[in-house]
Amino acid sequence: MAQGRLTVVGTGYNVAGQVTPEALTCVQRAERLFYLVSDPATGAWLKSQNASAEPLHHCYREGEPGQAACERMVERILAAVRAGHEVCAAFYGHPAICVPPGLESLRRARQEGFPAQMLPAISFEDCLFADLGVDPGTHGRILCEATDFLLRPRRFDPTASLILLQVGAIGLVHFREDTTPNRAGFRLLARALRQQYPESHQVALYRASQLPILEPSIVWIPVSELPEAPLSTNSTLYVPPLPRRPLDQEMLTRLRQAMSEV
Amino acid sequence: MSKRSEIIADFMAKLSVDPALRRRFKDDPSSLKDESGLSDEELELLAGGGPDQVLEALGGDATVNCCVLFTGEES
Repeated sequence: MAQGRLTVVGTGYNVAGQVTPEALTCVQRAERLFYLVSDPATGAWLKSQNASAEPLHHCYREGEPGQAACERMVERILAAVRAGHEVCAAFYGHPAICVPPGLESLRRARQEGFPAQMLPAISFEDCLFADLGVDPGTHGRILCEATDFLLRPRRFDPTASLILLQVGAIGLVHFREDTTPNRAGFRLLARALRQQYPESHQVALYRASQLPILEPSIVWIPVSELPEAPLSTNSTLYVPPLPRRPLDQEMLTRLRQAMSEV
Repeated sequence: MSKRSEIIADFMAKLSVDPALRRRFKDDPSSLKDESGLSDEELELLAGGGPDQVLEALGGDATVNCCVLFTGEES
């Protein structure tokens, strides 16, 4: 029997438009293709590229913790690898960013001795930088999942931009087909942010475009109005940086001195 | 997914890789009737409908809520 192999790829957020040529080749050549995507058009497109394509959405069960769905997905993927197939698993966005079955299937395949790789892809954050026109390299940026940000208070530097994921799903653990945003959790987050930022500081609620005919959703509002801001379960919050700190003159002098000695 | 939904999805895939086609669609959706295989009503829905209406027209097995993920469970 041939040795199984796993490649994990991301599809980005625009049907076929953000799939890299390398990922597309893997999708097309796989003997078994599994996918978890966030819109039906991408699923249909994947099926058109590879007749073996199987959705992983059915791994969700109403009322179950998401972790159970993740475990089911990983096992379905791994079963095909163990059976000796060349397997491709395609996930929305970037398969390493907030897509637990992506990294977990990779880790487990390697642990079991199978060749496995993950290919880079376009994440929601890449879309955000492009749509908002911001450069994360200028001021730095901090990226946190919103529930974790609230539950594990951390010291962070507000002169770097802050990106919080899943701000509409704070505290939501169980899968529900008709999940609505958790406004109460979001208000707690808004209160926490008011301790770090001026009330007038403008922030953006962002959702990447899911289809090529739809625009991204970008709503700029001051921190003071966050509690009642329009929200969806997959909203991301972008908090621009506060003004830059002054230069450390002592460090600047030392740097100049060190460079003059080169 | 129904046959009509498949045709809409196929059109979405074409739009996703072709900015010029997207511009034509935005300027005059009905001009793509033959190319897309869609009816005037379907093109009108895609051009003027909100995200929910468009996703409903696509049908299929993905739901937005499948993106609600798995954090916050560990201690």
